[in-house]
Amino acid sequence: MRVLTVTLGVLTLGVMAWGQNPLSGEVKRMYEGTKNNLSRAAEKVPEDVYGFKPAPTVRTFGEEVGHAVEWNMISCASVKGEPATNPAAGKTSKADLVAALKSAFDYCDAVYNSLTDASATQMSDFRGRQQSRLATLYFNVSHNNETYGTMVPYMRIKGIVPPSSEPRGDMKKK
Amino acid sequence: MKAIAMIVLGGAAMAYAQNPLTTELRQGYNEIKTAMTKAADEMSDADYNFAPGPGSRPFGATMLHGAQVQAAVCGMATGKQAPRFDQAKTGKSDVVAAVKAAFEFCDPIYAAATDADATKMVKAFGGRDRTMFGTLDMGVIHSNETYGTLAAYLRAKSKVPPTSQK
Repeated sequence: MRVLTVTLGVLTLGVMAWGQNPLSGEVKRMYEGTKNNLSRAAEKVPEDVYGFKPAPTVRTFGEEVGHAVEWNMISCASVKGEPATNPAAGKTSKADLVAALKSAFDYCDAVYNSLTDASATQMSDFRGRQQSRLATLYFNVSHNNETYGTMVPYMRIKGIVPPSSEPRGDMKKK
Repeated sequence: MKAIAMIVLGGAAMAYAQNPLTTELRQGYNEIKTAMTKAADEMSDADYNFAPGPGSRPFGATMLHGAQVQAAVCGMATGKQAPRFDQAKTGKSDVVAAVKAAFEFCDPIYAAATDADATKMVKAFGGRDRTMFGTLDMGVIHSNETYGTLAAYLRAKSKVPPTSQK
């Protein structure tokens, strides 16, 4: 009974928070989705595939992970008003890149979690342009999804089922 | 000429000031629309059947899926009936036409979106309540994911993806 009461209380607070901040609540939820897909892909792909690339002119899988790290840091640092660091710089091993990705998401988590609908419309400098924090954080979600979309054929070529295709089968087949 | 340019720039700045969120949303939409449309044109007819690995959709089917989701999202955001594309028609001419139709359906919807409507609630996938803004941005996000996949297909066929062309 106590568990049920606490659960209902938490759910109510969640609904209230979402009701007060629908825009920032949605961007956060979409960020969580892309974070989940990228993190699971980085974990699922074996070390020996990190150096693989499907064509000579493209990034390796590991470089795609590093690219995601770099842009999460650029986007979230922009919203925080801090200079961006790149924890993936010079890293090539799976262990290092998985750790760098986690580090980038830990950094971004705080940014998304602190966003409210009021602060979402505040401007920040993003690559020399003033734009709303919401736009920068949505850009990051789009870019994460684009990067994940690029990783999908890499995984398929190597016979790996992409994480987003695991639970729902053909509905999410890429 | 300079005066006209100033008026156009002034108008754009005013539109941005009044509707910053939806102006930015439109920028993201227009960028991915251009990229998807060019990618559909870029791939050769013969390679619309290309799939990079077992279990993955061919290029044509992936592009068609992207067009269908984009159109569906626009329908959900407005309550309008979205065009339905025959998922079996994955040849280049049919897919290019579907991509065009999806964006033609969506263009006026993104163009008409205002910040005042941003938090209006609509029914999205699975009957879930979402804001109009979040729903339309979901279209941009999904199209970016589809484009990311297609960019790898293009590279595998020695094509330069539109966003990487100089």
